This record gives sequence, C-alpha cells and structure tokens, in this order.
Amino acid sequence: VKRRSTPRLEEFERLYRQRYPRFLRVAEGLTGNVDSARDAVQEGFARAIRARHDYRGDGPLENWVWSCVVNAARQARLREELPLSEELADGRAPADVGSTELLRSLPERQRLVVFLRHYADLDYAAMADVLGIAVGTVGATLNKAHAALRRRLEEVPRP
Amino acid sequence: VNVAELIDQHVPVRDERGSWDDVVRRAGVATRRSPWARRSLVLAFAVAVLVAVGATFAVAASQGWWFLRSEGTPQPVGAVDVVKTVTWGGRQWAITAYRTDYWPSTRSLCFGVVGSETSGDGAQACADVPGELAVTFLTGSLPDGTRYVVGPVVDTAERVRITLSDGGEVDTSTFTVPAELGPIRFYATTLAANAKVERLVGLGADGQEVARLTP
Repeated sequence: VKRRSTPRLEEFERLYRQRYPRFLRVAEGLTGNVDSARDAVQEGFARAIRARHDYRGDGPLENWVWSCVVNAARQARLREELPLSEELADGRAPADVGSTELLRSLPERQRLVVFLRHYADLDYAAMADVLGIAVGTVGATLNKAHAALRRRLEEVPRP
Repeated sequence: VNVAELIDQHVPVRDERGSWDDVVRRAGVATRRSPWARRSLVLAFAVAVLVAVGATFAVAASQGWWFLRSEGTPQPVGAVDVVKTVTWGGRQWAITAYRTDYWPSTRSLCFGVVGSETSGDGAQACADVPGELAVTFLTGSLPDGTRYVVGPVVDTAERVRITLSDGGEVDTSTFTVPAELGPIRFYATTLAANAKVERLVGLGADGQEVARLTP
C-alpha cells in the first residue's frame, strides 16, 4: 500500500477555512451545545494535526479530519452526559416533544449519519470512511433514521 | 414539517469562521515562529553565511561548496544539487539546494544562489519546505545591483506571483528539481532595483492558490 506523505499544515488550514461552518454544524448536532461544538472542532483539528504523521492516505484527508472532529464531539457529549438523551433512550417521543428532542432520540450512529449526510453533505463512501463502517451499513442506518423520524413526526400531536 | 425540514431546523447554519490560530496553538505548533518570522530567520541566516564566507573562503576553495565550510552551516544529507543555472547581471549563477537534518524536527531545505562551487559569493538560506511553509524565498542583490528572488514552493505550484511593496506584481514560472529534494519546485527571477517582496502566492495549473507567504 502506497503511503502518502505527511499532510502539510496548510492542507489542514485550507480545509478548516473552507469547511468550518459544516464542521461546526455537525459538532453542534452531536454535542447539542454550540460552545461544546466550537471546542470540539478546534480539538478535532488539533488532534488531526498532532497525529498527521499517522495519516495513511487510505482516503481523502478531509475524511480523516472529519473522523477526528466527530470523535472529539462524541467525547464532549459523553463528558456532558446530556440528560435528554437518557430520558428518551427507549426511543419513545413524549407528547410535548420538539424537533430537537426527536433528533436526539435517535441512536448515536443514526444521528451521526444524519448529520454527516445533511450538514456535511458527505456521500455514502465518505461517511463510511469517517465512521469506519461499510457503505451498505451507512445506507441502511440512514434509512432507519429517516423512517424513525417520519414515524415519530406522525406521533407528535399537532396543534 | 417533513423529515428534511426537521433535520435542517435542528441545528442552525452559523456564519462563523473559527480561529485557526487557536487550532495551531492546541496542536502544539504555535510555539514555532510564524511564517513571516521564520522568513526573517531565514534571511538572518543568509546574512550570517555571507559574513562568515570572507573568513573561510581561502580554506573552502579546495573543499567543495564554499558555503559548507562556513561554521554553523547545516550540512547536507545527500548531495548538493544545482537545480538551475542562470545568467544574471552578466554573470552565471548556480541555484543550489540540499536537504539537511540540522534541525531534525523541521526537515529543512537549504537553498542558495552562488557564483560557483568555489567562488565564495552568493547567499544561502534554510527553511521547512514543504512543511511549515508551502513557499518561501531568499532575496538579495547581485554585484551590479540587480535584485533577485529565489525559493522553493510546493510541487503543485505552476507559477509564483510575487507582490512587491510598491504594489507591483511579478509572475514567474516554477521549475522541477531532483526528486531527492522532496515534493517541491523552485522559482527564480530578478526584480527591479530596490524592489521589496511583500507577498508570495503559489498558483496551481488551474490558477488556484496553493501556497502563500504574507507578513
């Protein structure tokens, strides 16, 4: 396997400047908090830079950075232990549930693929690379997430 | 509200830019000098070589490249390559380059403009390219007063656009160098007398910016 040369700092900077709002949006979706999301993006990029010599070049650098940012956001979420996700762990939607709660009620992997697809505009192959899962699993997970959201939208009482 | 709208409403799009400086600081590379400060270091080193040359030239003449004999000069890992010869100010000059492990963490490239292997005139500089810098330069004056600017740039750069302090711009093509020097190309050109380099931008084949050095 041909290993590409270590990515240059400028490559990370270009990605950061071009894609920052997307990284922030995905991170906010995962953490549920914009301040934590900002921190997660910074930390994710910093980790990617520190570990740049380990980048194997199997996929695009952007995918690798996405995985670093996603991991940083997931860890931030674990640290904060958002109580809402625990309340809805069984997947049922309470009567006064809103859009935020509906999204948060999804299992983590489903939320991940939803955010990477809709906020980051990544294709299935890129999402599979970021999450370390098969492309088919990405499609199946996304379908499940959409189906769950449709179902729960129908359950939510309308005024 | 359908599913797509629901997802779209879940997290707003924020018109923020973030802080790249903070990322660099967290990554632990903030303690390095900024590119512009590093450029100053490069130029300071070039001056140091020139100063040292006067005292060492007599010895150097019979021992290969004169600049390698100067005390404190980073020694090469591999050969010193002449990447191009140019005729400037009515005289031939060699543009040299070599890799050094003098600063192991920076994978430095040393490059210079010299009259000949033994002539003892010219200038030399070292910088981390490609690495911390995607483009840098060495500038100076030839004996007849002609200014020159020479340097490495990432190998995706087809041209380098040099912006001068008076607002003028000079575009120059890059050229290939031996593969042992790494994924870089070089550029070299003369400038008007007293010209001062303000900014360098490397441009790819499609005209897109691939490297930049600014104060």
